[in-house]
Amino acid sequence: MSPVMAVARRELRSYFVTPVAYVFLVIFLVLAGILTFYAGDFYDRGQADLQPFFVMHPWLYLLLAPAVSMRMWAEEAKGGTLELLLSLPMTIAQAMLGKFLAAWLFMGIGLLLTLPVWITVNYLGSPDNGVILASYVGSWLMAGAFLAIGACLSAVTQSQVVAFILTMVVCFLLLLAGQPQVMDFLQGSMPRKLLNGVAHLSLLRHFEAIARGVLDLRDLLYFLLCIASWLTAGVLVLDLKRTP
Amino acid sequence: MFSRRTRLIGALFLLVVASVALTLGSSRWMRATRIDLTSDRLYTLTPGTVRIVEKLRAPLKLTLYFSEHSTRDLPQLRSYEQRVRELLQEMVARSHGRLRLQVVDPVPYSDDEASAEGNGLSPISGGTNGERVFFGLVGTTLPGLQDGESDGEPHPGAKTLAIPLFDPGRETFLEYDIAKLLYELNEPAKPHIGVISSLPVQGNPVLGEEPWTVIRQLGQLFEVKTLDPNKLDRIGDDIQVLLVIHPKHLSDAAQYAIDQYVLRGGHLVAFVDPYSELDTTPFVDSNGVIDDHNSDLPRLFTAWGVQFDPQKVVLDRSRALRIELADNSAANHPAMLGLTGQELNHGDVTTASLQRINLSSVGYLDLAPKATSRLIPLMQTTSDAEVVPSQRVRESTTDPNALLDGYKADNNRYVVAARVRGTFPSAFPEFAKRPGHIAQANGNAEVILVADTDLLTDRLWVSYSQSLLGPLQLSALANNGDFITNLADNLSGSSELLSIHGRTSSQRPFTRVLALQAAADQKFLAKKQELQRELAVTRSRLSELQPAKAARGDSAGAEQKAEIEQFLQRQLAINKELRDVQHQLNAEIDALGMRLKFINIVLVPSLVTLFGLAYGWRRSRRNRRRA
Repeated sequence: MSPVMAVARRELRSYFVTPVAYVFLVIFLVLAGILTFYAGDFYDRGQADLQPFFVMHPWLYLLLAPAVSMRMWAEEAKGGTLELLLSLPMTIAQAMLGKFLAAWLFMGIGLLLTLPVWITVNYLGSPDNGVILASYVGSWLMAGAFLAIGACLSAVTQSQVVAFILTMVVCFLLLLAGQPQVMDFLQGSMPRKLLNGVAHLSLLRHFEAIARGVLDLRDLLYFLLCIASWLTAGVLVLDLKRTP
Repeated sequence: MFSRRTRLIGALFLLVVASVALTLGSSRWMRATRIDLTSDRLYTLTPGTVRIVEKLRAPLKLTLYFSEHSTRDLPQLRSYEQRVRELLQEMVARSHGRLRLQVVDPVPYSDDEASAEGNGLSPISGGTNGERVFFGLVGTTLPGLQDGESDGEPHPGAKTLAIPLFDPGRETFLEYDIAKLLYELNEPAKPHIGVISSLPVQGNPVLGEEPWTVIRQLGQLFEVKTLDPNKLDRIGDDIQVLLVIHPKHLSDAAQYAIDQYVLRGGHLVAFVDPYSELDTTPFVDSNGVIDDHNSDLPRLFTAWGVQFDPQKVVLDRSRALRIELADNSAANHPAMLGLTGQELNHGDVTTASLQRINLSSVGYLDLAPKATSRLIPLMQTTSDAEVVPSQRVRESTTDPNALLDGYKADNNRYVVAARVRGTFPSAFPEFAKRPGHIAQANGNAEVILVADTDLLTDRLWVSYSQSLLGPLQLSALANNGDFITNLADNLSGSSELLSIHGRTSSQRPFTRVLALQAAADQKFLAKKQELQRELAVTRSRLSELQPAKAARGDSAGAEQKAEIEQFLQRQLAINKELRDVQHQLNAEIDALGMRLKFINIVLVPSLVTLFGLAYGWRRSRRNRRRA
């Protein structure tokens, strides 16, 4: 087994040996259900689509992804196991990728557990399942982007709380960029081209584009680039910390 | 040299720059490669649009006017603008440089605003600070220069057409509307359509009556020419499609002209009717001539191998339209039909994408015995249909329920509209010696026959309403207009537009809840009727007592009082029962909602918790055993 997969397996198993994983999953499922049915008015609006469900995902991840990713490196650094891990016969990049994959799979399991919502909507009417599939792909990619940001920022600090807050702030900014309100606010103080650039960096904009039911190569590339860049940055940060 | 630390910091900095540049670059420079997962391929151009875009002869300039600033508080409109812009960009990308797109924000009091108004865009009110919102498209032809380049400026004689307003309510027709604009800009002249009609389809300019909506719609895509049947002896080759509507008392000359037109390969659509409701001819005129308001082309139909009885109307109680009667009550009218997608031919381009056609007092078409032609149904009734004399329908206009007396379904699906194909012989063999006479169609000729004329009238498919976003708007209750345009499109050869028609709406209701609601309504209605009958019986008993009162004096009065009391009591009880029934029926829908909420919010998380607990317990037991 490659070192990446070995780390991913060990990490994923470690999630489930403590109650933390179940608490996360239950919070995710309960919140997703409440937000969909009450805030999103899923049942009363009578439309066979999962728009009220997916529209809440960015905000759910804003809370849960930093919570999942905060312990990734901060815990290792604090517990002194970081040096041990890095002395194993593998590169930092492999360890980073393994840990990230485990967290991403964990979020994927959370998403899979929401399948009853999909069954519900198919029971009630005939939704466009292509759009739902695209939305699931978009949602999982967005979760990946959040986790990659969290992985990098967890490497920056020894404190899990600081890692949590930093990740939340960065993710929040990336969600807000491109929102009409923010664009309007920035309109006067920035040239138009720069403004458009900011809009292109918005996580929400790319997620919404995918959630319409269209897998555009540019949106997929955005998420993959985002994940790759933040993970690489995390590796560089860890390397930097190791370098005297 | 640099230390490892400096190099790492440098790498971090480079990473930030590179990833931002790559993200922005890919968004800006990469061509859209996408997989459209929507079931209706909402974001993929239909082949019809692609062909129209690829066949553009001269360069066109498209200007999308969108009031960016005034729509800050209108997120729905903003997201729709994005959809419109993406569709336009997709078209531009496929046009080999023949389409140019410019997006303009017509700020108040600017030249852009003046040009938007000048080009016929309709602004809507309700923008930020009460500003007007422009959201429309203007297309202009540009001169094609030698090198295929153009200066981008409109030239004298340029053709300009506009979509005055993109209404989000018309999203399903968005692609069609834009493709139609491009098609019209690209066509040097509109195809010609000839109309022979004994109904006032062109309206009456003297009385200020507008042409019927179907004719106005046709007028947008075609040059519609009215032909006078009394002066007709030949139909010109410039007529691509001939519409014959309600042909009554057509002279032999006119029939011969139609016959020869069809045999020459001309395209005919004939609308005949056993009872045309907009026919204003007196049933019996001053000379005593009786007119049944029916129409027929017996000689031509015989030549084409088609049977049609102008005295017979098809009823179909399964597709009866619900109509309002003079006394404000409503009833299902079995002679007025709302045919759904199931009764329309999905294999034919003219009816494939239609959802609903409304008709009234329709006849039916059949092949004559021994006919060699082929009859391809476009519309059929359900098998719950019955044929009755047209007179019965005329007599039951005020009481459509009378048509259901003794109703006996024939278990036959009657053909209401069809294509008829064959090597037709001429219906006028006696004119064989005339110069240029064609005795038989050279190869397969084709006509489309429709056994109803009422489907063309506005009252069956159009409603006018005040739209959220503008002035009085026409909205279609059924696809009758699409059907006629499809026929004309298909027969005039511009079938590209056809494939774009009537994309399914993105509305997907909870069918299960609707079914519950429908069942509830039905139960409620049945209960109501039952209780109303009971009340009627009580009421009649009460009125029976009325005359008796005078005859029998006070004792009868007491009896009547008791009866009235009983009646009132019963009425109260019935109203309560009805309320209970309604409440109980709504409760079923609410209960379903509660069950689903419980499953999604409580049950699944509980199962996860249970699984976690079981897993934890097993682990700790195993650990204890090991220890």
